[in-house]
Amino acid sequence: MTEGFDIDHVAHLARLTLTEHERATLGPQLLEILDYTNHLQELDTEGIDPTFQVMQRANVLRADLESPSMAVDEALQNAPSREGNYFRVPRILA
Amino acid sequence: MIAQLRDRLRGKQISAVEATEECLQRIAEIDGEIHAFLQVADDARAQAERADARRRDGEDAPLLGIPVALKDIISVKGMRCTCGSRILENYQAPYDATVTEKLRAAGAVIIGKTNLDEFAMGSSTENSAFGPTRNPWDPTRVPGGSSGGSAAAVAAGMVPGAYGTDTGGSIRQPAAFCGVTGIKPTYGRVSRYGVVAYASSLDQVGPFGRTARDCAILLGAVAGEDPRDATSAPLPAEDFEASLEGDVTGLRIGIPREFTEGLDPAIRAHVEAAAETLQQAGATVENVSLPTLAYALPAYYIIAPAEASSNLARYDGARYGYRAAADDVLSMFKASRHDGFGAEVKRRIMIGTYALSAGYYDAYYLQAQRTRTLLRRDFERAFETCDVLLGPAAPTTAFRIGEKTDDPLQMYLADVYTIAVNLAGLPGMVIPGGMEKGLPVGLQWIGPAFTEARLLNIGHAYQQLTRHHQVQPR
Repeated sequence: MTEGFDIDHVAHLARLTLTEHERATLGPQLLEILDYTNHLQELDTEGIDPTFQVMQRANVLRADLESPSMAVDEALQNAPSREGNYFRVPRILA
Repeated sequence: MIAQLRDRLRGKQISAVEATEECLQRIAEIDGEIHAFLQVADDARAQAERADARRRDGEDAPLLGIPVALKDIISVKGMRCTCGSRILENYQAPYDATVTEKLRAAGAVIIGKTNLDEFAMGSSTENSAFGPTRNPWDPTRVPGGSSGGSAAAVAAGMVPGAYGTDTGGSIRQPAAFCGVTGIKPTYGRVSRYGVVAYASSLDQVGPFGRTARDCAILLGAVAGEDPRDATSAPLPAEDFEASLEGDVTGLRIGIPREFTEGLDPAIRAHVEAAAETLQQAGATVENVSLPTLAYALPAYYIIAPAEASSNLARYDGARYGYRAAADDVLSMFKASRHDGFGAEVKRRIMIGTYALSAGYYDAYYLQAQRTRTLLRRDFERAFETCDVLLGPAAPTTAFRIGEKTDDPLQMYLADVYTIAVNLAGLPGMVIPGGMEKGLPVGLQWIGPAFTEARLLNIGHAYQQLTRHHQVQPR
């Protein structure tokens, strides 16, 4: 099942640059880990519902009330680059 | 210990400032070697002065004047919250986690932030970008992980109590390796608001202390429903300490055979000795089976990385954290993440991204979540005939620094006995069960959901009958 594993495609989906050295070390490690997880295929889970979360709660609601939120300066205090009340980033369109 | 310190604080035999100074002095003496702390709070003494003032005003909050440490993944407003990662090296938490808020209300002195595997991913604290923590019992060995800093800080007497998080064993395995008591509560027992997310359906905050009583006090201070965490359980806060009556008469202990088959005989002997001790105190012991247990680890290494790949998408260099210089935003994302994340975090992001990618979702993610259902059923069946499960916390005692860093899969196996508990959302407690070749061995107790009081009472009963928890390094 790991034959479809394309490290460059996955790295792009994960928004990660990988160096040649990382490709060389990560690649075999990831295949080894995936091979290990392939043991799961031995289990017959036909008709078994998945457990995405254990709480079994749905639609936890709260009253729709005004409450104070984080001040703009606090929200921006960790910004790598700021312009006025905005986060500044490099150009988005090529 | 916290219970004794609380009595001395109440009796005015010691002030919060003095208790805090003792911790700071111990940290100054030995943390150069152990490296349990990433930061010591600048305002620790000021917090202690406020606690003393509150006591002078007649207040007696549950942790008033008691120093505690927090794993550096729990937000404390105004302090850095690095998660052991370069990508958050200079990130300052802009708000308090609910746990932090509750600790402040309870009067605790937050003395510092402890070391961890990057984003809580690891079993040895070697994945911290800021260097490993060393085991106080043997500095050539790891303290376990990912909450290794918190466990080591308590074991070495730098602080009487500390908090960590446990996603696959990250409280219980380091508690075992460092010879302290730790409890991972039921999923939903403690709010995750302000706790940096790794795998949201598994993460849970819990305490480390020297005794089950101390853990009961520490857990009671932070447990409870939180409107800011929709997955927190709608249950009233319990007085865990009040339920420590120490009686185990009629308690039905189950030992899963999957926990003891193939287990190192030396560790198995400690598990069996603990069962024997409680049997003599009136408990019964039977063998039970968790047939799906062998599939817990592979299921975890799909589910946790899948959730991590989604949760860690937020570290993109745009709003906070490290940003690499780049000409366009996509290159900035990719380069910031490349430079900012360590190898294990990259491995898990890659595994998770692959498992969730088009064409592989059913085979990996869905199959893992169905396996999780089978595991839950295994536990439900076991709890039909017993009240609690007993087993090892880890397959070995603390291993050497560097021993497993080149082999990720071997590192993962360090959590083979703890991981199923997270997948099923159950509470698990580890208490010291004796020494093996100079290193602590932990005993793990697992209960049905929301039976922390039962687990802590068993731990307390055991600690009344034995002295393993009193042995300290150096």
